[in-house]
Amino acid sequence: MIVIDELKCIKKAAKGDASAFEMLVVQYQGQVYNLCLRMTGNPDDAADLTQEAFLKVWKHLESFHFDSSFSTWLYRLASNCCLDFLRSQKRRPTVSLTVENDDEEEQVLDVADTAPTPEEHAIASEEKEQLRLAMSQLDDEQRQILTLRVVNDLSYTEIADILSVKEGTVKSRLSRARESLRKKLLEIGNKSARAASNHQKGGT
Amino acid sequence: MNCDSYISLLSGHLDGINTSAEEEQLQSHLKNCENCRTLLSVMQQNDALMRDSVAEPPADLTAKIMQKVRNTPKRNSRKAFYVSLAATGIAAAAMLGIFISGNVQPPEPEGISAISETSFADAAKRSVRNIGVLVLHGSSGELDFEGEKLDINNLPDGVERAGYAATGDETEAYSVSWSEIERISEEYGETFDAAFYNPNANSTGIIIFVD
Repeated sequence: MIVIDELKCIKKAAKGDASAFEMLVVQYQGQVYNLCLRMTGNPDDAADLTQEAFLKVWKHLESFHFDSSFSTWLYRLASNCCLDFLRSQKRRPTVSLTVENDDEEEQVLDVADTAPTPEEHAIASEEKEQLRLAMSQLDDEQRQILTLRVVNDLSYTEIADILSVKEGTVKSRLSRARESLRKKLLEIGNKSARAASNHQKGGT
Repeated sequence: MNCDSYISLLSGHLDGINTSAEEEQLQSHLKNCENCRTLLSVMQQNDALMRDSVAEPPADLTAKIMQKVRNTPKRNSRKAFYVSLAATGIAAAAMLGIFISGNVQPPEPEGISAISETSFADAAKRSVRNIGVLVLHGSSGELDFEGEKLDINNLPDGVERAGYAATGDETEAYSVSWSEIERISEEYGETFDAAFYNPNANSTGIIIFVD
């Protein structure tokens, strides 16, 4: 990772120095993109929201008074962009392998069976797809807090700052989110296994 | 304690935030509970899966961001007054009524010119200056004015709630009375330069630039 003089970049960018701002973008875009990707489950939406978040940072950088770290401020802004987007979309259904009934279970099987990859790679891909699906079924707030903690690797203090809640609340919410995710993955795994079993019996 | 009550400690263990007493309690339970050992193992695997699923951003993302940034010159200005509200609807109509047109248009102070613009960038090109930004944060309902947080339940005189914005259930819009604009003008000893209506994808705002 390239170490930049963040403070200097922020101050220059706040005065309109686009090159300094670009260094901040390069430094943080991966984290912001992954936050948006986990929140929305859609790469195109994630890219759009990452752009929106950085543009907001650019517009309002002069109002950043170093009350928190820049990254905390940025993640708060980005996750708020995502929540606003999700609300405005009214949780637009994702194009996914949603398994709600027997017919859709067969879709899970079809995709898994047609993956032209080595077995191990296929299993890893399937696990990731199941994770994506399980994440999409969580509440927005649960998805947000899990992402901030596990993907963005933020501390409880930072997450508490971003969400404007106490650290004890972060702890209890994370615990509930992990448990919800575990249950969703279990459900999805069971449905996939059942679909695979039915598929073999059907011989198609 | 039953197994359900250990879930919080299992999660805390993964994050390394349990107190020593909590950790001792958990370890003691894990020795005798296969169910919770399995639960911990699954939670660890799920965390690892999430970390492994980190994606590379699109190769052109930086370029796209910077293109937008360079097309949005910073308003290196001292006075601006921005109220975020719905792109359509009563709130927007009310705001426009107050500032630009309609039945409730206040008397214009000398020197004001009301203009309609389609973007912040266009307004910025007019080289107007501003004093600060009143921003409505969509999800938190917080209002910032010149870096000071405004209590939405205790708004200053002249700032009134106007309606709900379309950007989210919790997003609220506020209108600011003409007297408040005049007060700001008087406080800073300056006159208005321009006002414009900014419809963009997610919000609509009114900015009053004060020269």
